[in-house]
Amino acid sequence: MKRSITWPGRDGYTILEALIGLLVISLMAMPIFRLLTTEKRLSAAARDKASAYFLAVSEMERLKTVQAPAQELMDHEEDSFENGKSFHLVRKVKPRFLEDAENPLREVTVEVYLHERRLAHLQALFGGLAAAPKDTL
Amino acid sequence: MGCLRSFKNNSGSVAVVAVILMTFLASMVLIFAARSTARFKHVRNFEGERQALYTAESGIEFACYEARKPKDSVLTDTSLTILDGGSFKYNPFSDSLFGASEVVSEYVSGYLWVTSKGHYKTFSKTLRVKLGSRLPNAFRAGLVLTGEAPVTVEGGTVQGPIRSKAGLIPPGAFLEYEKLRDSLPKLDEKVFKDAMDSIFRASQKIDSGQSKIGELVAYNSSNPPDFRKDSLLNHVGNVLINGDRIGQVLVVEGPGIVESAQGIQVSGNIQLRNVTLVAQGDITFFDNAKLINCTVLSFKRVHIGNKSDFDGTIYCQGTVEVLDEAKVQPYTLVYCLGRGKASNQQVVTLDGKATMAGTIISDCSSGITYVGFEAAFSGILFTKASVDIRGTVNGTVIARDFQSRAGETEPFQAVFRDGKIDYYGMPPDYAAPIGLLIEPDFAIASWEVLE
Repeated sequence: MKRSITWPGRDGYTILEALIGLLVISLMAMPIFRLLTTEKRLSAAARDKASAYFLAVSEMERLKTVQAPAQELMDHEEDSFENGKSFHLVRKVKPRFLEDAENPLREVTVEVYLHERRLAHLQALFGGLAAAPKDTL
Repeated sequence: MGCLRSFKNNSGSVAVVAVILMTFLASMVLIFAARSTARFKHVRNFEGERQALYTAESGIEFACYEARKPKDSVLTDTSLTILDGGSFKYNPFSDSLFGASEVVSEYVSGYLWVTSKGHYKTFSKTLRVKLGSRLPNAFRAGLVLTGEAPVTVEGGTVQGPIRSKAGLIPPGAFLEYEKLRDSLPKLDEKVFKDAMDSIFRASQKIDSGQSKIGELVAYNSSNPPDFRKDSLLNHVGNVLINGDRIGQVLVVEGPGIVESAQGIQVSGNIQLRNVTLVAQGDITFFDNAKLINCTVLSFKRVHIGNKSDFDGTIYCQGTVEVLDEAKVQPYTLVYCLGRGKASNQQVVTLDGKATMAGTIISDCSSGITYVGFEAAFSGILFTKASVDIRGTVNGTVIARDFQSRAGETEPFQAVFRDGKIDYYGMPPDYAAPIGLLIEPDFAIASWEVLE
């Protein structure tokens, strides 16, 4: 038995109806294709964000092992290649309490950018605990 | 023609095929999109949790910085609450970028256990660190006791504020040290030493003939020391003062002096009040003996052991041992010369769950003042020689150098030289207790993420 989708009392589609149907289906497909391209972008963004996150954490953990007082930490910028892309890593250091001149605490912010877009941002305080030279403990 | 016919009739299924294709395509796209979104969220969660961890860590850094400040300035900050025993709780910051942190610290066994909870957006992390002191600041050469009133000795009793000051140092003294440093009394060593020597000379009287060398003089419940007849009971032989009745405390009330050319042992169910004990040899306390406001002078060794309880003053030209759950009550002064001891021998020993509160002055150029793993000391510890501290010390330590050994069978060796610690000579995982602080400073002894 031959089956097709028809209106009641009709045997099938005319060529015009089929064309209109295709047009409607094409219009419906547009958001799906858009979703497809978004997925591609999202996938790339997730990969980039993961790379940026690991770069930021690596930098932060590296700073914790530096055998120098936190006061000696300085602002710093560098480019880093990960997964074939060039990320820009920015480290900002500022005293946490401006009113206290001898304050050893430093607020360190590590940001990772890709094409001017900030993908990772981590902050931590550094002071006597984290930056203490091991042979003085 | 056939093609044209099929084009002209209306029995095809192009719509069905198209819908099926589109549905399949849409499903695939949705699956991939869901995976990518989940991955993106995963990375974002990682970042949030990591930031919460850094926020918790920062809370500890911040709180320790605040706690290091002089107490007066700390108290101006209302978000810091100092609890009993040196513990504190603190909410150091709440920042839109940084998040918020809650810090609670507890002072346990000479260490500061700090727990910090970091909040960042919807993420939370709890971190706990065990803090000890940074050693180079704990040990400095020379006498640093300074203040207005000198300490003198008169008739065996220390006059001056040093006793009360030692007793006033609370657990967690690191918070108050800046204040204490300025008010610690000056120790006038010459006056102190002269007075001590005069006490020794005064006690060396000729034997009254009541006993002979080798003869044991036993005082007990039937024959207690009686100071009403003679305030000085002088013997050539060994003296045993023993509370020999179970359930009945033998109370020996002073003032009075028991002197022996050999040794004195106090033991059993006994309580001595206001009694001075002087011996050329060992003076030992055993078996729950309790001494209240007593003065002890020995030329050789003072041993406080086996759950005995002491309150008073100890002068010893040899060594002093406080062992086996013995208690030395607050304000006690131990003045020890450590004569005849080599640099690697213990002059003052606190060990075996012994506790002592007061002042230890180990006035010798060689020998070690030792606080064992299970012992606790609260007060001022001053020695011109070395210290080896494994247990709990609350208060202040002033020593020339710091000796340690990797194990009980290993020899002592100096591990603090030129401002640095030689870790090879120390037990594994060693960290000095907070009580060693001369200037408050912290070092991490352990670190763990709780949740």
